[in-house]
Amino acid sequence: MKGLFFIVTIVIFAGATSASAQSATKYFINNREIAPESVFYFNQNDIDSIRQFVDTDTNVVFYTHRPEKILSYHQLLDLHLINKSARNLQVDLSEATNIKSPEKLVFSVDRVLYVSIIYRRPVNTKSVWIASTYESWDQKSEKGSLLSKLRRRFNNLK
Amino acid sequence: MIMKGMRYYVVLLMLFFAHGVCSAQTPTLPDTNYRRPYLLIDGKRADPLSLMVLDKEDIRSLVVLSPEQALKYGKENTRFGAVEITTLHPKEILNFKQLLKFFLFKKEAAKLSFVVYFGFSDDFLSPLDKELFMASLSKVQSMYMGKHYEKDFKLFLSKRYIDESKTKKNVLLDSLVQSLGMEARRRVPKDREIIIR
Repeated sequence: MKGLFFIVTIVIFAGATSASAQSATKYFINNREIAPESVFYFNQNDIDSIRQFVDTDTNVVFYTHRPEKILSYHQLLDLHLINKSARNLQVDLSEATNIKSPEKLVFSVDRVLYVSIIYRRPVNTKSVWIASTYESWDQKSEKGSLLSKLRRRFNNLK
Repeated sequence: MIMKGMRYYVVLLMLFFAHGVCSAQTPTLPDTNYRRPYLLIDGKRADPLSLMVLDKEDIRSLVVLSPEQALKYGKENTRFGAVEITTLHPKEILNFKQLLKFFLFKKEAAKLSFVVYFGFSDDFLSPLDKELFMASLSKVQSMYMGKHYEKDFKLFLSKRYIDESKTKKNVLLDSLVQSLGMEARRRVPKDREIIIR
């Protein structure tokens, strides 16, 4: 009985530790915090370098000197001629659904294929769907392989 | 010699005149693939592509008229007959401007070319007059701005497929929808055709 209690405690502790480690990873573009799902929408050429800093938290920072090529979620809606009422709708991406903080999403302009307003029946609700173009990250380059790793890491967290 | 040369000029002039008379008599149609009937919804003219996205549940009656019977609506645009539709739920059928508003697009989006996308790959067509285009809300899956093989952005309406019963009215509408689908397939450029063996 004692042994069982010990094992259960260890399992719970390990689970809690890994969960806190996962949630502690923050993503930035230059000095701005972004939603982790943004990694799916980066064009490799728009990113100069990627650095990972591990302290109490893990911070992944994407550096760019072409910030005009990276759009915020609201700028993306504007570009696709969608009005401000859509900002409150649920957001789904090609790779991830029901994004928690869509206002923190950022996108390379070329990686967005289209932004669609979907009408769901019979519930009669609307949502935003952002479709991405085919990714062309160069796996041999440091940036490309790191982007792929981050993507895989994010997929594993789902 | 001069007389012989003059004869050619006279023949050419006559041909040119005949061509002018013929084109004045022929209604202006976009191209030879165009086979769309004249459409009336609740007595008002609508773009025939609307047939693609009308929900059978919203239709009270559907009457197909032959080109001869359709002459009452004038010679122009009735070459392929006419379709008269009366609706059950007119509020559920939106025009182009209402669709833009419902799908949260800005007013500038109205200036874009408009395309109805109703299947896979190349299954899309444009209305002749988007201002006359109408769609049942239940038949619209989504709207978006995209390129789809083209250079310029266009506004797309994507059709929703619903399982429907096979009543006489439904079968009639299905055959009209199929003929529009065939038009889309005829328009596919040869280099984009996919052959399934």
